[in-house]
This record gives sequence, structure tokens and C-alpha cells, in this order.
Amino acid sequence: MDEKRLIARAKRDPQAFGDLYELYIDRVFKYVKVRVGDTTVTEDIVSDIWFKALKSIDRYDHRGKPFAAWLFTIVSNSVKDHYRQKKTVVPLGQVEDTLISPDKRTDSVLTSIEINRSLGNLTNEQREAVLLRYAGDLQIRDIAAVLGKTEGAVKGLLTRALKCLREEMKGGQRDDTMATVS
Amino acid sequence: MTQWRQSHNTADRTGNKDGFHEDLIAADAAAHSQFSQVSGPSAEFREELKNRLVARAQTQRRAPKVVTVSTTWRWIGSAAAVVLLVGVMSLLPNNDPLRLPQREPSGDSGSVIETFQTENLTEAPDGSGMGVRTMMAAGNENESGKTAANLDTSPGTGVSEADAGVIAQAQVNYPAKVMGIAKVEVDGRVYWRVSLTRDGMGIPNRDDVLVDCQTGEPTLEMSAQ
Repeated sequence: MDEKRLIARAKRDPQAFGDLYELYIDRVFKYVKVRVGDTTVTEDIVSDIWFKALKSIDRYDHRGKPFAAWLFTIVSNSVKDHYRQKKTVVPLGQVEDTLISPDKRTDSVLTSIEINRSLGNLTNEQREAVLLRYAGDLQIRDIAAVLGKTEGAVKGLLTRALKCLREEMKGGQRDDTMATVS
Repeated sequence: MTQWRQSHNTADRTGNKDGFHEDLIAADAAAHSQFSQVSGPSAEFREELKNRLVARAQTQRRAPKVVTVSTTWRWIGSAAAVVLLVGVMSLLPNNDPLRLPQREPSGDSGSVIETFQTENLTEAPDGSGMGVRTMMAAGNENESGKTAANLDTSPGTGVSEADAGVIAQAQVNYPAKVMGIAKVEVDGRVYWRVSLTRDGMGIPNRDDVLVDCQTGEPTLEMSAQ
């Protein structure tokens, strides 16, 4: 079914809202997981996000933001609220180390840790753009709508972020080589 | 990270997806691949949350429409409009016949005291031609619960300052506050000049009432508005 119709139905049909949820739950969860780290905290935030979306979907108008951008604005704000309420700022890159006990670390968690460390070198805006793009799987126009920037500006942010990540990668590669030699 | 390294090695391929520079397209794809390895929600969580959401949605649909913020604001707007309207109405000239005296020359005395001609006015007992509002007009109970008619205004006893204030307040058709009382002499007679103003919100009505110190007969001076 076309997404616009699904959203229109979701406003009055609970089952259709369930279908909409299925469409986005993975992307929302991954975004929050990378930002927060801990699975339990992630689940709490994700639940909160979906209840907020349910509460305000009546007010959503597709002539404004695309739905993905609307939803991810809620997502992004909810994660910010989470950190604001905790009143502690855990820098990206340290999230997993601080929140996940060693025995809970799986390959997937290690991937999150690796991603977080890489993102730690980016500016806030670059990091947000990268997360929306790759964890949220949003299109450039949707990211632009969430960040309130032009598509060109978002492309610029992502390009610089990818270059930065690649530079880091080069460094990592050199380290690996040196480790092999030694 | 491994994916990004591979992408770096295989970069510079053709294509221009999403406006990225060619050498970053592979990095873009690699990043997608890297993030795809982040685990999604567990099946239990996904199912449980969906069930809770659907249940909440059903309750929400069944629930009667609550007053939204916008509706509340609409009500507040209406109330504000009413208050404004009342304010504007009170700015308009007062058409009460008791409040708008027909001014006439004050006769031979040259007094500043105004004369009035309404059914509630009687001629001044001294025959000066000066019409005054009688105590009958002030028969309504004033704020202190004391009626002007109850006051002892018989000649000779004199009218106290406080009684003069009460008499004066009964002469106007708005809630009046006494701003000041002073004894004055007009045409050889002694009066209490009571300055009144509107008590509370509204147009700042202002009147001076002369109350005869001996008889208690009130005379509304020219409106100060």
C-alpha cells in the first residue's frame, strides 16, 4: 500500500498504525541503539517515541514534512530529552563502554561500539546526518527536513563526514599494518 | 570499520548516487552496510510494543474527543473579545438621562453650579432658580447599606462629611469612590464638595457633587469628564 494512504488510514485504524509501526520500527530502533547503546534504555526510548507518534499522528499532515522526517524529528528529540533528563553527557564513542557490561557484549554490540568510536570524531551535525542517513536509512530530503537544512547542505555534511571517516580508516589501516610488522 | 576500509580500497568507481562525489559512493554504500549490522529490536519487544500500541490506538479512537489546546485557545479568544467589547461599550457616551444633565444658565447668581431639569429635580428652596437633584433620586441603597433617605438632613442639624459622601455617591449611576471632600461656599451657602470617581475598571468617570451642609440637598456639578 502507498505510504500516504497507510498514514491516512493509521489516523483512524489501529491496525494500520500497527502496519506503519512495522515499516519503521527497525530504523527507529537502530538509530536510538547507536545513540544510546544500552538495549534496555533503547527499548524504553523507542516505546516512548511510538506512543508520542500515536498521540500526535492526527496532527500529521503529509503536505508538510515527509512522514519519515516527521517521525525522526520525534526520535531525535526523544534521544536529546533522554540525555537532558539524565543531565549527563556521555560522548559518543564511550556510550557502549559505559553502559554495556562486558558479559553482555555480542558481535552486534561490538559493531555499535566500533561505529560510535568512529562517529566520535565528527561534529554534532555531521554525526546526526550520518546517523539519520545510515541508521535511520533516511533519504537526503528527509534528513534535510529533520535538520532544517537544505539538501545541498546535508550532502555537504555527509561528504565531509565520510571523508573524515575515511581518514580515520586510513590511520586505522596504518596501525594494523604496523601491528602486523611488529 | 572493516567495511569502510574495503570501500576505501575499492573507491573511485563510477556513479553519482545522491549527489556524492564518485570517490565517496563506495564509502556511502559501505556505511550503509556497516550500520545494517547494528541489531534491531528483539522479536518479543517488537511484538509486545506493537500490541500495546494497537490497544492504545483502539482506546484512543473510542475515547470521546477531548478539548484540544486549540479549542481552549478559541474559547480564551472569545472571552477576550467579550471583555474588549464591554470595554469599548463603556467608552461610549452614557445616555442615561439621569447622568446627562441639560445645562441651563444658572440664573442671576453667576454660580458655577449646574442646573438640571428632570423629573427627579426640584427647585432649590431658596428660590435661586438652582435646580437640585432631590433625595428621592438617591433612594437606592449605597455601598455602605445606608440610604440617602435615612440620613438626617433636617435644617439646622447639619450634614456630616461622611453623610455628604454617601449622598454624593447616590447621585451618580456608576459605582463611585469618594476622592475628596471639601467645604466650599457658593452664593453665600456652605456646601460639601464631594469629588467622585468610578470605583474599579472602566471609564474614569469623575464628578463633583455639592451637598448642602444644612439641608443635605445634593447638586451635581458640571461633569469633570
